[in-house]
Amino acid sequence: MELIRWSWVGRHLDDIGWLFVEHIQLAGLALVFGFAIAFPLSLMALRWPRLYGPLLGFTGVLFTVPSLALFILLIPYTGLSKATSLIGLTIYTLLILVRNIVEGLRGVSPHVLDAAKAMGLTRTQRLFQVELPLALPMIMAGIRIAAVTTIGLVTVTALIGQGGLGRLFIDGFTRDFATPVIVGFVLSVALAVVVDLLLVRLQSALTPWHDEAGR
Amino acid sequence: MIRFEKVTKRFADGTTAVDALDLEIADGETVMLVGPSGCGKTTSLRLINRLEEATGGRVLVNGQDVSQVDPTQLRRGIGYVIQHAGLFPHRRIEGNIATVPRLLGWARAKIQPKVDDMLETVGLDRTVAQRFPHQLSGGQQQRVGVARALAGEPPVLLMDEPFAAVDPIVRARLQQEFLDLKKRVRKTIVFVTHDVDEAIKLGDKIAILKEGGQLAQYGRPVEILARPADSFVADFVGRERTLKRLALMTADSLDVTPGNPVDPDADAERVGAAAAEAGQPWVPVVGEDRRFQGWCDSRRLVNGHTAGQLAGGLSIATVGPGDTLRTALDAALSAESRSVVRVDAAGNYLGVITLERIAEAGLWS
Repeated sequence: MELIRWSWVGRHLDDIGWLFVEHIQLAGLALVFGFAIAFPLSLMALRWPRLYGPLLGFTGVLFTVPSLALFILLIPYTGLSKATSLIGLTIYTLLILVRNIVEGLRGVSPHVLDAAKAMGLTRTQRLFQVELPLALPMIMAGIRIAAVTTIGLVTVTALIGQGGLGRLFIDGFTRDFATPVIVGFVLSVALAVVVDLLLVRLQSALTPWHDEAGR
Repeated sequence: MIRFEKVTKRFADGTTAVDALDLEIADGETVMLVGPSGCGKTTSLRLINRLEEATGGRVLVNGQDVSQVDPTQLRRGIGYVIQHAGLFPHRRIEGNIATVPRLLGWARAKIQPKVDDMLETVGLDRTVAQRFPHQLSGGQQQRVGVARALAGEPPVLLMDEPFAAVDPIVRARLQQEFLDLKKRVRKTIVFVTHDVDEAIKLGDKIAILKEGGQLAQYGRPVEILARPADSFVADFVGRERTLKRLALMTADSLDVTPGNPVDPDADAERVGAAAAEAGQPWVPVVGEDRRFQGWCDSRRLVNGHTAGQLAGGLSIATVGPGDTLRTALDAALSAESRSVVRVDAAGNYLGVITLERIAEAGLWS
């Protein structure tokens, strides 16, 4: 028996394409929502350091909830919908993003912050012109981990009728037919690798000062 | 002008960093805040641009209580240089230097030449403008730190141990450049250091602080060396060391300045002209016999009187070739002119040795 039946692939290119796009959508939206939530949480944790411990603890607990269990817990509220999938995926990005944003901002040299303040930058100017640019390598590292993790995790949501390329797994499994499983696997891994490489490129472009700094 | 009025800074943990400090810094003056660690020198500096807030008394900059000024606006008008340069690692050198001009909303066309001008002022090549801070040496970064602090054309410059983190050779060069720079830019400078030699070398005045944030003495370097207020100051400035060195040197080891002497019959006009040429109000009066007769204060000589009439009452101490610089120091200190006249072995007038010159010899030879 051959490993992959190319004729099947040829006949289902449209479907595969759609699932691929859906996969990107789910992962991308989860990252965007995750960042939108993690960013203000991180700023709060920096402003009120006492919040940071509980915040990490809470997102950490969320992170340890088995993914399938989380989706099942959500079903009574949001059903077998895209929302269920997105909420779950978003929650999983929070721990990684919050931790990297906070550590990135905390890692900015106190001398540099002192100088920024003494030059007459306002609090907002310091955040956007000094702290965030300098925390960017750390934040981008978090986004990369979150992106790769989420792209893999999207496939799990196939069990609640979403899941992008994950649905090819279910399809192949139920019919005992390897081709869709292999196609889904290869595309999912390829997507993760390409996204990671693109993010590395993006980071280099955004932080030209960082490459040779050795930090 | 910067004025501290009974300024106290107590931290939340109860330690007193600055205790009822009174200090007045005139425009264009370089004042060194020096003292052992824990004496509140850095805190005092940071009270000026409100990086710290006073818990008592007030700090005035140009007559205005800083606590009444918006801190952001205040800081944009005060240059600040710190030990580790504190450059923004993500901005190129030109971006670093342009920080305050941009905050002040200068036009782009005005900022670019200012950056070039600042690079030249601190002795850096224009090619560094496009580099990032980590591509520069420690000494170069420190120069950029100074350029960045001056770019917004602030009348006041605060420097917190700016040369402490570079190696001694680079430090000596930066200190020399600082002396040249301060002559050119004419800023009011407050400079924190723990190094008393640096304070004496760079400062017009020195404020010596002791632990607990109290002012031990405030004055010109030579005055502090010559007349320390107490044993703490004497120990701190290493006065004994300086005096011993001066006692080992003789007056003929120093060059004299001509001093523009006048004869005893000189009138106010001639004395005034001589003083103006010498660049100081005191003029030595020397008779036809080439004997020194005393100092004449050109500001006090009124029309109708002669230089000789004023000269008599004042110190007429002189030093000969065999006298030590220690003797010269005492003579210069007791004279209102803050100088001593040097005579040759026969007692004939040769020229003038200033107090600064003697102090320099004691400190740097």
